[in-house]
Amino acid sequence: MENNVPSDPDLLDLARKFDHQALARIYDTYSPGLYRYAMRLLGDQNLAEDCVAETFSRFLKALQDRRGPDNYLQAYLYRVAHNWIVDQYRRNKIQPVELTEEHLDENADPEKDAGLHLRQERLRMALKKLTPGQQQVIALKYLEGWENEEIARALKKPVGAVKSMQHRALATLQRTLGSEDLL
Amino acid sequence: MKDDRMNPKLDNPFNDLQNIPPRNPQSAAHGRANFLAQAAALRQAVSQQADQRHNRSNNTIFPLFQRKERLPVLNTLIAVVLALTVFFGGTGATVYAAQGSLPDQILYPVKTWSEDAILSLTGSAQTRLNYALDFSDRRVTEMAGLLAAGKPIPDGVETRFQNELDLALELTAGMDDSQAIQQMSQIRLHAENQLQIMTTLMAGAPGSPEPLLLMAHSRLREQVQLAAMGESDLPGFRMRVMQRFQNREGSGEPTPGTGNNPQGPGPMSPTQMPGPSGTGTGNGPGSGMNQPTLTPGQYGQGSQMPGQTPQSGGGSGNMP
Repeated sequence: MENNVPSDPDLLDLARKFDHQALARIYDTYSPGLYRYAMRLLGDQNLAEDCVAETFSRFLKALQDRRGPDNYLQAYLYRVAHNWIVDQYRRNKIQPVELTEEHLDENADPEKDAGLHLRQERLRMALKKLTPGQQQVIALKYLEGWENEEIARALKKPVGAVKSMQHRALATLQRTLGSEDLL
Repeated sequence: MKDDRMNPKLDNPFNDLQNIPPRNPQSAAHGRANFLAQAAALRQAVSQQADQRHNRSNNTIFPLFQRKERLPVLNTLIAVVLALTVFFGGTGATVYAAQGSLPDQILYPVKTWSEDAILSLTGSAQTRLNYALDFSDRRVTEMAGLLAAGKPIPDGVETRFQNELDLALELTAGMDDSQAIQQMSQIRLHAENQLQIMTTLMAGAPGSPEPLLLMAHSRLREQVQLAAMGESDLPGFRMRVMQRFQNREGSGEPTPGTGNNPQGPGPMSPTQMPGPSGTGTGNGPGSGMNQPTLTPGQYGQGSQMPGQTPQSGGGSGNMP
């Protein structure tokens, strides 16, 4: 699992010197996961690409300002990405994406695909009703498969607090989705 | 993980969100190229800031060489160049400050001059090879920085880059077999990394890539092929390098190693050319290297290539 890859302090040291190979390796290692993460929460390929681009751009600026992660690069990048996503939510830029041909595999069942797309959009809308922290806990836990300890590191919170946020988030989701008769 | 789930019914929608379309490879490549170009531009900016800090400060001579961006292998000879420059009335700080400059900046000629001086002062083929590879990395960084700033790549940068790649090949061809094969993989890996960067830069370039960028990309592909050839067929590699050298000499391209050439030091100094017999002392130019009638077949077993360390034995390496 990608999140089992430990952050490499040596890689970060090189990145702080803007070493080309180190930065390329960081991008190649983490950008696919960040894209998937953004895509699952945003449901829009262009926005997901924007999210990845902005995340890595902020990472570079942090390095330039001698800030950025000390050790846990993955946790740092997902935190930055999630903050960007939450900003998009707040600006109300995220609208349900219209179902277009690019969403549909021509070999698949269109009715099934349309149903999947609809369920995805409703779950995203339900996730938007959570607090930013709850969204991140749910997304990292159930979409990315992270352990509570890793989520705690990303959120800079104790593990107990993460479990508590998770509990409240699931209860809220259950109410929201149940009320919409999705399940 | 299941213990954390409050309602098993939620499994279904979460699984639904796992199902997303694959990332567009072109968008991914474009994003990667933009990121690396931004990184290259920031690296240049950081280097210049460091230079400015240096110029404002009252550093002693030792902190002068502790600049993080410098390649460690350069420190000793930069120190020599600086000392000589200061000794002869120049400004050592200018040489130092020039190291992070881009080709469109006023200090860039100082940077290339110091590189040429370093190569001229270096006797060891292994050390020269390390410098050649380091300097070629600088050229790639410069090209990335220029592209990130939306500026064209000057012809001289690409020419220097090609000369540095040639120098690496020719120095390696001149090493003994075991050392050459060992260095060949280093050259190949170096070129592969640079090729990857070039590919990224080309993918990120708006519109058609610059012709000079295409040339550099093509030359790197050739470098990878030649190094791979050297790893599997060292005599064949030496022959190819010899032919390339002769072609360049015949085309009237700048004489390498003079140190005064704006396009770089070039591959070899004429004074380092061994004779074709492979048995001389190796202190003078061999007759074979500059013979226009020389054919590859004349380089049989025991023959020497540009920069090759002569083997002991009879014969004279000082042939006219």
